[in-house]
Amino acid sequence: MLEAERLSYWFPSRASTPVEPKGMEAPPIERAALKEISVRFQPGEFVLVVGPSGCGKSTFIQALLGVVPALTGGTVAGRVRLDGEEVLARGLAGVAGKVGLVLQDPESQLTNLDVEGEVVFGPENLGLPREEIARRLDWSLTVAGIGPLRNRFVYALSGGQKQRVAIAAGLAMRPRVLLLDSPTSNLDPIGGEETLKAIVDLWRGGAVELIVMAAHKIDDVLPVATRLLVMSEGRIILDGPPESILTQHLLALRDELGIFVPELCELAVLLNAGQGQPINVDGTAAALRERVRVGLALPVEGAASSTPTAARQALPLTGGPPAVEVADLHFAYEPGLPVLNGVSLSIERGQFVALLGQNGTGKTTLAKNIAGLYRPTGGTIRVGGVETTSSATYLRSGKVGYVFQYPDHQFVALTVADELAYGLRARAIPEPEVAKRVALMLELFKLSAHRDAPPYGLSMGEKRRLSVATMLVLRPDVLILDEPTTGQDRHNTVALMEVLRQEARERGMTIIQITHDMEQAAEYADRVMVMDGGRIVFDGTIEALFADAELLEQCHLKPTPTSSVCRLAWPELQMAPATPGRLAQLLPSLTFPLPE
Amino acid sequence: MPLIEFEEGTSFMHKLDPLSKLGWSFVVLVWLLAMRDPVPVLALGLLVIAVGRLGGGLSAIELLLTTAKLSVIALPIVLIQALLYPGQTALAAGPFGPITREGISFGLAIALRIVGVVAASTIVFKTTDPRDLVYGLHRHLHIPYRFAYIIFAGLRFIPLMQYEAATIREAQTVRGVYLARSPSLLDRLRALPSKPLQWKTFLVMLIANGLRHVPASTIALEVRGFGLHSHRTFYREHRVDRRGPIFALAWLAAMVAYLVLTGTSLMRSVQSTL
Repeated sequence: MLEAERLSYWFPSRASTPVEPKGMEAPPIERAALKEISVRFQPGEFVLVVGPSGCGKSTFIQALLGVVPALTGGTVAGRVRLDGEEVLARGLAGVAGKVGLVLQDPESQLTNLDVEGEVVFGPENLGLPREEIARRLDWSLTVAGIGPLRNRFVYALSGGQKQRVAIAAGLAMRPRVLLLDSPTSNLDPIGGEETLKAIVDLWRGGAVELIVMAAHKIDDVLPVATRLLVMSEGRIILDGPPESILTQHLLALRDELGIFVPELCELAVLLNAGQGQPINVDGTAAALRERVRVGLALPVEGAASSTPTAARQALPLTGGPPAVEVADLHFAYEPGLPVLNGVSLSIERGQFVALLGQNGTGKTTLAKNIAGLYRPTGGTIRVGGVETTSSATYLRSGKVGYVFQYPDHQFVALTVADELAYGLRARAIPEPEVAKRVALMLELFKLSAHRDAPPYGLSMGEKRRLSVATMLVLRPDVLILDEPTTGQDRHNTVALMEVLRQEARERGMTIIQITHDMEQAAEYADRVMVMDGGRIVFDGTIEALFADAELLEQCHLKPTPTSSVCRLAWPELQMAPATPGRLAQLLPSLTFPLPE
Repeated sequence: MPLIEFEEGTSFMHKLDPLSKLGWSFVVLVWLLAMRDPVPVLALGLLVIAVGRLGGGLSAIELLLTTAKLSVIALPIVLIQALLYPGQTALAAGPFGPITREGISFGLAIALRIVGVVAASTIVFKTTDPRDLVYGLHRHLHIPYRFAYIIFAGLRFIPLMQYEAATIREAQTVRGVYLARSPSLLDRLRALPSKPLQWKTFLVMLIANGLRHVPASTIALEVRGFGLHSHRTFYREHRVDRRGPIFALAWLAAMVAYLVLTGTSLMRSVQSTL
């Protein structure tokens, strides 16, 4: 149905013209972003493409569509065929209406004013009758779960909502092939699950014959995927049934390639479960019960590399005033439309707090109020015991740092070193001290090699590290991070989170992280807060949160696979461990009678 | 809220078709150009604001504020004309010659014209759904959809750029870029020399972020068959009734009556302004 044959692609060099002249000899294969990829997809397949950041996943997806090199320039070799027709030669015009594409960044792929206009845009371009467009519109909105947003302006939606609009717009073309590039990376857990369910239903119902999806996290889609491609440095290095690849190569994928391996697979491998069987919560829970019944301990070493437990041991540094204190905070962007409705919280020095909640519940608004970017309409904010509600001056002192979701927004200088020095110089820090701190950050974030490089030229992972470094260099007492690891592979994520954990532990820096990643929150946060309807509706440990099924449903959150497995294995357990590491730690003390 | 974002509503102006509203704003432009005395220019400007308030349901204060923000060029014009216009009634001595009543009057008239045109355009854009505008241009003026869409994309881009600008400003504030906003006068004075660099950085970022969207937007358009066929359908129903043309023609008639009654020569006024 869709195939690539010895497909190679080289990005345009800066000195070259956008499209290399025909007949020019291809550059060396080592420099290619895609290296002689040959793969054939059949109708009925649901293919996952995984790999570390920069491995060529997105480029591969775009090449299958003919975007590469038609719109990107560069040099291409080999072939891509859809139903026997050449794709690369015809470009996008040849596949419009046959292949749907949903990109990683919803912001850029929305081209209309409102949700309805966005979804009908494609069918209108195809010249379909109005009645057919109406049918497709209703259907697409329903399966993407955005019916109530139908008349909303797209630019006023949250990131996750925009992503679902982009998916609905892709579905409205009723494509036979659907290509997806990390389509759920910006969604809250349940939002992501619902969207994937919609995609899977399309595929199962035969409305879409083939799905090829690139993703960093594949936990939710693993049970339905029929095939897994693992990419590294522009090549497909593994291709086969997902469960056999994941179970056979788990450690190599996780630790060498830096791929997020589904937590359930980690558990199944640790428990020696799922050999030749589908990996699911039921089977893993049964294996866990059996393991305990026969008195075998979990191989703690295997789990411990990814799940250090020191975060829980790092107690908040008490003795002074709370790092952040918020009392009855109210905020509205427009009169009569409150976003924060009386938020109260207190965070001690050195705590690592995860701020959770579904898209559009006020997490970012609360964080920006704490950072002093917004002026509250009511209530008070204290940072380090000093009231900052009506004063913007503390912004200057660098007491509260804020790392934005898109790192590019924060860059202001021409080189990485100047970027790091900028905030220090703006605060009149003496030049020797500036040089010392910049060197320290370059080293800490492994950016020394890029010292004189322009920030915009860095990879996304490096940009994220730099954006965090520009804040840490100011040594803030409180650091707020808005989805700092979105779209990052495991290596990049772990490296960044470990630096943050170290800062919290050694320097007593308070960290507030906005995230949708439950596993990351379980792994790193001392404490989680959940927002819903502009209020904090939960404040406690993640285990206590996962024990409250009603609240999880209300707030569109879901527990980690480890928590789900443990709850199924031992329903009597009040506080089920949330990570494989904590399960391994707790196992010797679990003496519950096993269910008959 | 972006400055000239379309605001949904059911007012009289919202119900008019986009081409009639464009015609109305053109009549306002010509009428303003025909006037030389600042007093009638001001009166017409206030009438336009009244149309926005009473006919468009827009807040008069917001409309005035928006117009003022978008008319930043008007004040320098008053000053330049006051200093340089060769009038006869000297009011005070200036660096380049006497400041005259005629100079101030001429400068005020030009500035108020700008304000009036900006106000009328703002009313049109705040009460016109860009989709209706594209449809009107394509269906009634027979402008190819590809070109009509470019106008739509431009209108859509303005509020997006404003949201983007707000985010970049926030992100750079955190970095310490806008220290000039400090309540301390000393801080503000100290930050003055770095202002041009701050603006440069901000604009570079804004443009870079705008360009960042281009490849993905192009892919999204192409994948969804933009320009694939010469014929396309429109899902949204667009109704045009008589109120729009009547409204625009009524203003045209009023302008002609004014010109006739006051003996104003349109050509002479335009030439003198230019």
